[in-house]
Amino acid sequence: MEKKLTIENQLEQLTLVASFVEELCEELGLDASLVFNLNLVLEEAMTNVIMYAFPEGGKHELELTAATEGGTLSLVVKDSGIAFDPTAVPDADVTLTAEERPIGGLGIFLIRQIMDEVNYERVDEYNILTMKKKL
Amino acid sequence: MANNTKTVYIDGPLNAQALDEVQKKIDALLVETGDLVVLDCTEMSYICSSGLRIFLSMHKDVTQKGGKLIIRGLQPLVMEVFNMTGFAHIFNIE
Repeated sequence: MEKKLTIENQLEQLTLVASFVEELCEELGLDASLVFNLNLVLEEAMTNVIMYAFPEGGKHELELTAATEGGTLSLVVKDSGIAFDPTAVPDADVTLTAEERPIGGLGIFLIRQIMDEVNYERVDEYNILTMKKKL
Repeated sequence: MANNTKTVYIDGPLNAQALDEVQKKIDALLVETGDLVVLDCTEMSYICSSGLRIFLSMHKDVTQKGGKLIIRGLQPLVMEVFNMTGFAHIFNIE
């Protein structure tokens, strides 16, 4: 199974991602908690791209591919923005108190908590973030 | 010292698109010294990391003013996000 969605670099377009996830989970027969978590993962990854990958502005595309193979779901987010490796951001330290907590690092932390494998590649001027989850 | 209870209701998904609106609601509370602030999340179906950050800065603000922030009515899947991120230990959750 493979499913693709292309959106523009606008936060409003994330509603399309939410419907995509819902359809995907329905097709695969996944439960509500996975719908919630996969939605969270994709929102974190794609919000990051929309907010920071195109500092010069303008209209750009983000491509999302979902595929299953051998009981593993892969979600791939591809964009042509500035090179940025979210996996290089240190995880948020979740043991800190409110006062000690820095801003940032939470998005990638959540992605790592929910998914089993997260990889970043820079290929031909594209950022490619691959996130895998065993179903 | 004033000790007022102020409640803000968050509904729907607290996603990237909803952030501005929720921030406005929170700013409109005008938190004062010693206030008890209740975030009623009974109708909040989802939260992203930016939403958690809004709650965190609110928690800091209220605490610095000698008040207390309480989060009420978290739905189970949302509660899981609080657990995963360690925020369950930071906030007063009812």
